[in-house]
Amino acid sequence: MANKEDKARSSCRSENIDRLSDLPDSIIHKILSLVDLRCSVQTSVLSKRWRFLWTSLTDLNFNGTCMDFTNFLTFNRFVSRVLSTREDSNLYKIQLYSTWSPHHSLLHMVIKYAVSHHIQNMVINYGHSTIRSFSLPPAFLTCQSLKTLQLSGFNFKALGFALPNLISLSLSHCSFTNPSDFDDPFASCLNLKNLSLRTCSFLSSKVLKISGLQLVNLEIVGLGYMNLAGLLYRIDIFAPKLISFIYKLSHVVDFSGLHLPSLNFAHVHVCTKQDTKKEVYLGLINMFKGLGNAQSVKLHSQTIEVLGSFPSLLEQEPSPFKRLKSVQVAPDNKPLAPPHVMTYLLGGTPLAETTYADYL
Amino acid sequence: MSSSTDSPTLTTETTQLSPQPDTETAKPTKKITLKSSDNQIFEVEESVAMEFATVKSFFEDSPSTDTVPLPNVTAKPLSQVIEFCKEQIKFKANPDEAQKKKYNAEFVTEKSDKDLVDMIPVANYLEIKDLLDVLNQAVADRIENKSVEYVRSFFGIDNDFTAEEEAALRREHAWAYEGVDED
Repeated sequence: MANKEDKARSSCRSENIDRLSDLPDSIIHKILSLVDLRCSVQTSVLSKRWRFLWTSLTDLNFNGTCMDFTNFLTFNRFVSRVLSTREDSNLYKIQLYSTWSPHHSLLHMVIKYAVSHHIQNMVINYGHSTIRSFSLPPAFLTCQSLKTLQLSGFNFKALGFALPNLISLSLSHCSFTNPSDFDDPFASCLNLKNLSLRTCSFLSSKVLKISGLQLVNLEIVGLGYMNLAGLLYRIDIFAPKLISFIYKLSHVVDFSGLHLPSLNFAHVHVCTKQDTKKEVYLGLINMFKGLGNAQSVKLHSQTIEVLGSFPSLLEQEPSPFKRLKSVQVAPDNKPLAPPHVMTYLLGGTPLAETTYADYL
Repeated sequence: MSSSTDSPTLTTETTQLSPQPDTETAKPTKKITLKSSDNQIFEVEESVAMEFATVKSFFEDSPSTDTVPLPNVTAKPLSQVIEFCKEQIKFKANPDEAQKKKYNAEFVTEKSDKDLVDMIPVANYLEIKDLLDVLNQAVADRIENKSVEYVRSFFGIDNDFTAEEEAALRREHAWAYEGVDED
């Protein structure tokens, strides 16, 4: 290793000593996994020590959202060259972001590679493009190694997910077009703890069931925006271990089938049109019955408005909450919650604390 | 636990007066001496020194010493690392995530490139995970989308390729070069 000695001698003299190159690969990999992958590949030119360092990266971040790629072809070529050049080792994480419209052949290649390299964490996000016509291959939807998955813009037809080791699933702008009336797409993810559905639509099912024996956190945001107007469908949730339920910027649907015995925290922000229809009010009352175990509740002023829209009906309604310790209402620039709403919320637990916040 | 306290070490003379365990708890701020490779002495509070996993295990192995030699660490990065850990102790006692984030961001922003890079091996050697994470992210942010030449001088890497070898490598990886800022 005469070379190394030379280097050591020369660096003793120079002001700028290369201490980084002596570090274990794992430290350099950490840094490389935090920069754009193209930047990582380019480090192979830095010195002989760095020549093959990037090829053993297990965390691949393909970012086609920056203006760096002149067109989708250069991006696609880049992705396929990385996969064919890297060393044939298992993958910890792949992130595929792009603002170019998705190419099915590229998606197929990345997904096939990921599954065959025991991928644990995967993100596919093509910005606002939707990938409706692309069918995720069954090998991916049943992948044993996946622990976290984030997808955007996909369409799921007949099959749900059957990912036995999946812990966190996050879907945004996805649609479910199951031709049957009843859909329980997550029931086969037996270890799922965290589920987030953002602006997803369930187009044809009349009843969406979310079964999650291990589910702890559930977030539904923007439900109903992409639906046919006036279609009030039903969501049943069977989640005996669920602790936190966030329902934001969503329309009121039929929530008569909620089973949430361990619920601790609920956050409800429902959206309605100007004239609150009675069925929306009744839907919300039904939902609150299902949230009765919550100890801490955050309510948006709009939710309070819907609750208060039929005072004579609400006054006959028993308070749903049995263990409530705190209620937070936001934003606080709106008038305070009317007394009949507070009576409804706190009737069973008069000692619960009520606070107003700027935002939730 | 396993190591005997009576085994002689290089620093025995200075540690003869080391307190008994029970008096140690009575003393609120025990100081520990760290000695850098360039023979600078740093006196730090025990709680700060225990943030360094390497120093901690050194003490578990030889509890009677109170000067820890750090042969791989020079004075400047060590003093910066100590500064960081002192603050982290405060956040441990008084958790405030927003303030901590702000401090960590300021800590790296005001450091030169060289200071940042020099601290990485120190944080790695002393096994200070939080600091290592902060440094890795800061370094990644500074080299993001920069040219090879920039990154090479940033890290102080000696280019041991011949011009021909480097040109061949660049040709081989042509698919990874397009539209990179040359600053």
